[in-house]
Amino acid sequence: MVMVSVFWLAFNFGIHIVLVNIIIGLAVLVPLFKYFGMKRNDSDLVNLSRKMMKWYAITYGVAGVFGTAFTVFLFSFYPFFTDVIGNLLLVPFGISIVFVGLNFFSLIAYWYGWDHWSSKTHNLIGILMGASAIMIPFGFRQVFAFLNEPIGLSFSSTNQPYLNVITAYTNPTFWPIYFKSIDGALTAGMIATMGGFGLIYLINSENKKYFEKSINMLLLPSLIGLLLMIPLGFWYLESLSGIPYKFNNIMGGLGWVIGNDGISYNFSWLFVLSMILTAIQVLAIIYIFYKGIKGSLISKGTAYSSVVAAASAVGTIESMEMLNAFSQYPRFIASLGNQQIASLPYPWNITLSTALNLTDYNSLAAAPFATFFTSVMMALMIVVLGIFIYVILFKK
Amino acid sequence: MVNPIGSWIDFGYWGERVLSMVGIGIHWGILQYVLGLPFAAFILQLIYLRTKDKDYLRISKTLVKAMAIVFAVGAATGTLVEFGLIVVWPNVLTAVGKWLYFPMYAEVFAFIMEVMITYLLYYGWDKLSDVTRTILTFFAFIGPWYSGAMILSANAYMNVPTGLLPDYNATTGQWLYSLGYPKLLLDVPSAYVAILNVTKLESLGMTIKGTTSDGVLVYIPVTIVNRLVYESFNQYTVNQSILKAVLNSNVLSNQAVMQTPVLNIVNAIMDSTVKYFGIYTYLFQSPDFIPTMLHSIGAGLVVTGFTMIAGFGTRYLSVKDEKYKKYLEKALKFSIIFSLIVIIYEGLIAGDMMGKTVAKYNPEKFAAIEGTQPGFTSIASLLHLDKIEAFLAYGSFSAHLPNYSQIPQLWGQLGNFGVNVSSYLPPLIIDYSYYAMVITGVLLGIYALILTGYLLFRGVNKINRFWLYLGIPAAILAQFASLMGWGTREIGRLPWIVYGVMTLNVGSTLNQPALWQDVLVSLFYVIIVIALVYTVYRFLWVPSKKEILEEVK
Repeated sequence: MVMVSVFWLAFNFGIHIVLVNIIIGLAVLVPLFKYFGMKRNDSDLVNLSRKMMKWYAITYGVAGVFGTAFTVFLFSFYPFFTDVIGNLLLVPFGISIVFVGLNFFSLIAYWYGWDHWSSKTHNLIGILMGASAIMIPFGFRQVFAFLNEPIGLSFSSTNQPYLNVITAYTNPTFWPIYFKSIDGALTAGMIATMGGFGLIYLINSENKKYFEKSINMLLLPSLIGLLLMIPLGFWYLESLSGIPYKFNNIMGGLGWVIGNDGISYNFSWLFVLSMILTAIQVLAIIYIFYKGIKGSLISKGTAYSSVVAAASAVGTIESMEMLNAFSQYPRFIASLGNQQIASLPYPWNITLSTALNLTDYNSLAAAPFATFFTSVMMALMIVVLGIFIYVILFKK
Repeated sequence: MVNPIGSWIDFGYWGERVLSMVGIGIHWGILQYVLGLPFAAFILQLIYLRTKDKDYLRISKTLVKAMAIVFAVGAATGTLVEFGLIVVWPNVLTAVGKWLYFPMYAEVFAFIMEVMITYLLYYGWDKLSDVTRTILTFFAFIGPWYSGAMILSANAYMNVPTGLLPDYNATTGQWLYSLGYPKLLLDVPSAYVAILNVTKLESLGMTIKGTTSDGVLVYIPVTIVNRLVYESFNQYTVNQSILKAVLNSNVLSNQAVMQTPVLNIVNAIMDSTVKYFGIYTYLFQSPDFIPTMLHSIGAGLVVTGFTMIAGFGTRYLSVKDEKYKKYLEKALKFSIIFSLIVIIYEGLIAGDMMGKTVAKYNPEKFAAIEGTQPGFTSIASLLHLDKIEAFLAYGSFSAHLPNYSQIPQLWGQLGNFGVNVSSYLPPLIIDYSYYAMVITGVLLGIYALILTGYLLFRGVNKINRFWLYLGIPAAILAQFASLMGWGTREIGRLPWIVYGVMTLNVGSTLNQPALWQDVLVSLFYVIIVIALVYTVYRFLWVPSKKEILEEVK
């Protein structure tokens, strides 16, 4: 029954995180394109930006839904873990909450006010939209870094735990994961945009100009972003070398083991899968470049290629996030095994021994009818989601 | 002299409380429209289907457009509130997640339904057939009502936990604290019953109701429950707990038992109690659930109704175009009748149910509402409403209102085993907030009646300008009444977060937010509200001013 709790968390988080990456990318690209479009008097670019804005709004709504679902599953299956992070991580969560709110508000203002605000005001709201999106992971990735290693966790003289926020941000895993996330999100956003316009071009050739515009604007930056992921990815991997449990579960299967503990759960295959998917993206983009040099940048072939790149980008995010999460299974905090928890001050050594273990879930939440209900409703929700996307984007 | 504000302030935890008040308060205010607008839009579409008068469809579309704008901000503030609860009241969320999770599960899907349907309706309005659109609008109001009901079930439980035996006898006017009331029905697993000294527990007020397959059903005084919950979230072991005093003597030397965290024991008792009542229905069995749901939805309808009067009425005053005027006349007529019906429902049906529930299950709160304390100037006594209140609450003019001055200050505390709460007396300020709600509600009812009188005897086009301009303060007052009602409910529960179970200090975060954090987040919320008001003004009001309202073309 452990798998029920883990499955629902992974399912919701998996969808949420992919969409969130695309959202961050779009939040930056949309106002940028609108700005350039207005400046260059390029109405196609402005129209392209507006179409992307519609995708952004819809993606935001869907991501929000799965994000909320994830939170509910988390505190239902793991109430005492939620209690721990709720008590400790007020500031990182607070940062994210504020920027989620700002981003949401700027999205609404930017979207509904497209033809209503002055150009200058609209651009300013656009800057707020992009900047707030980039700042959301500044809080959430700190939570992830804390879950790698609880840097900044301190105990008062009365044994009350608290987070030293300044120290927390010196967590060696924070900056690499944050920068990697931002670069990954922008790159995925760019590749997904090209793939999206490639797809609508394949469906209806009248959309050719949008596909062409997106390729012209994004092909080179996306390749740079993709290549930048390589050093950033290795920076993050290197930062995990201080957490042998997690590192070994990622790299152990490839023969790279740190310390004496060996591999607990071999997830190297997910690492390999991520690398393959990244390679597919690089190859697909290089192919489009090649076709461009040959003089046929816009063709069915390059459109298919952009769709493949987009699908691979989504797959890469999914596999990397799953790798990051599962490589510390069953620990909620990767560096805290039973031994490390036992050495914490009393009574936290007792409390945390169960709260930080993924196998110790709330059995009430995994009751048969709850699982059945959740499955049925989730299936229904996905069907409704499909209808929603169809009506909004495709129905005439 | 009694200081009603001072006692409210003295409960402390202002950082967390301000964040919750501002955050949930704003969310609550926005939600009123999310609950009301789609319902009104649905009724309008039914009228359109029956009359084929396209104006009703247009009015409906205007309301859906407003709903789409308001809903977006409502969803955002809702998500912020959820996160806020996790970081500000983590222990409460832990308890909700552990034992009260099912409605939260169900709420997720309700929320999803709301998001999809609202925007499907808004963006797909012209792409849908009349019947499909009406069906979708039906789900557009069912979604928020269902979602609201799920969240409110947790709030209802916080006011009246399932299995609560109240502590006041209205016939005799006696508080029953000396007999161990209020008590909570819990299913104690047999393994724990075996190590407990039942005689000692009975002397503390515990009464046995019966047995289950693996436990004993007992009514336990909330003083004990309160203390055990406090110990649980403060990492006590049995050795440090009050449980030590009620263990059988042969267990005292068993180190395994003595080192057991109290949380584990409370966990097991709550698990079996939830299973006894039903995992999926535990919250819904709170006697407060149905009244809370009906009353809250009613509040949303009232606020929506009077806001529609304000919007359509004031616009009507400045419009010259005949076609537009006809449209607004129909909208105004609908808004007035809608408002009258919902304010009557809210006051006489839902409000009455709510009041009776409070009187029965939260007598301390009821005593504070009635301000039955010498030296305190209560509105009820000023208006000489005591007998009427007694009749409304208990069905008899001879019933006794609960006497606030007779409530022991530490009634929720088990002897000397405190939980760091200095007073269990709810703040008397709720006398003012409650009567502010009631008086405002009555005024709104009179206002709706006057407007209806115009409709019946003179026609909508003859309504005096004064009465139409009055729509603006009426809309604000409707929000005010709703806020006062909510405030009475929440403030009147102090110092409890969950009545009889968990106090403020137990639910609060270990690391309380700094003042600047409170101020920053509160300001942020206020800015969101200002931005929402401006957005509605810009995208609904300004276009309507130019008489080019898209829906009227």
